[in-house]
Amino acid sequence: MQIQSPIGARLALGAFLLLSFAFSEVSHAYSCGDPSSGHCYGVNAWTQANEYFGAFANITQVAMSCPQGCGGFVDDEIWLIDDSSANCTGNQFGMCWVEAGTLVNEGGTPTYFWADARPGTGNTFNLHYLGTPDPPGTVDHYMIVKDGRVNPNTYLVFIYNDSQSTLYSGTSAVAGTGGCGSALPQMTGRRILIGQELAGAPEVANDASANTADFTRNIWAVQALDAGYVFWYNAQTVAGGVTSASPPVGSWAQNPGAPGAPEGGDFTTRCCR
Amino acid sequence: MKTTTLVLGLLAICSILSACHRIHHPEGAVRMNLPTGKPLQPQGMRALEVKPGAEPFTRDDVTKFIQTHRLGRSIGDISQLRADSLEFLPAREATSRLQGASSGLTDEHQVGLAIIRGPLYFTGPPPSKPIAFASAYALFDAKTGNLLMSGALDKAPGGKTGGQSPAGHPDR
Repeated sequence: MQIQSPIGARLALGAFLLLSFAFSEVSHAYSCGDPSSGHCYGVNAWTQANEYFGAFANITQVAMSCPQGCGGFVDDEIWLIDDSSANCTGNQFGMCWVEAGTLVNEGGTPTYFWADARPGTGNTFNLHYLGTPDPPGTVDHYMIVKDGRVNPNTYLVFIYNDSQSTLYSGTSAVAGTGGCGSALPQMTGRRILIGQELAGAPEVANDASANTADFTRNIWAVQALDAGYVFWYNAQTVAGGVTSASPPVGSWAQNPGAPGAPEGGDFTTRCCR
Repeated sequence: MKTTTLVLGLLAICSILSACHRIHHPEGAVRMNLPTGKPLQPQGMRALEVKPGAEPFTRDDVTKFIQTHRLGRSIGDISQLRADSLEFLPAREATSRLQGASSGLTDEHQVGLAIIRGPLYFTGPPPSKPIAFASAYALFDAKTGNLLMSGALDKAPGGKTGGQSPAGHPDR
């Protein structure tokens, strides 16, 4: 087809630009974070004025991947967060947290992990890679609990299965307990998150994926660990605030407290199509 | 005999009461036992090939790895990252450099601590935004080459810094 008139040429150019723009938009699977924007979440949040001394959830292992070019990661996890104490709002992230879950980074294979962002401004954020997860379908237990037996308090992290053939543990200690100066006050958990985090803005061919995972037995510790070494808990009885960026998708399959629902409800996540 | 029995009985009751006093059972809470088995030693994530000799892997090996494999929970261009230093040391010493952040390995287990020049961007849980860090670290198992830990160090210029850096020098 020949374009005879200047108007026709402009129309053709406009159509070309429009199509190019549209094509470039659909070629990205999702847009979940670059150095100036945040990640995407499919999570449920509970907040309370009183302290959460710990958090626990059963999470189903699922197949997940993030190939070269995915530009980030995808995970299923739980967080215990303090974004109100002065020693936490003053750190490099403006909050402290302890988290535990299963993660796959760009070009990597899934791994159990736990991480913390501690009070203070030294090596605030520390991520621990533990080992290869149990096969998909396994229900693993993820526990974070404040240890009141030591001063300053630490947080203990456990990832384990029923038989304890998988059992990893870690200790989140405040900065300064490694021998460099006096320890800062430990964080005070006031928010619990469960769900999925997704990062990256890949082309469709390189997007991350994660099958549907169930988060059940959503419970929280009502006191710090003492000599009895027991996780004394209450179950979540109401759904919290849900964020679902689609992707990742996060939603309640069964609300906490609903008739027939498992203890703490059944929250599900999946990604990315 | 009766006196001995009485004393032993009283001692037993005191012991039970003492134990009950130590273990606080909060009202309305449900009991769940913590796992009691022996935890596995962290294996980390497969990362570097270990070579025979005094130095199992080099700073260049680390640079190649971080330019092709994203450190956990970071975003941004990884092609320009480089390892500024790599030091082999006992896990206990690495924990001290990292201000108490422990790899979970035994004290004498050899690890490789690499300081990485960024920028790298790490993000917390919502509603946080990515924070730029001028430097970060990666900790490798010297025996297997696996990646055990990674994390943020100094915030990028314009941000706050503080404390003692794991390289043993005061933060800039």
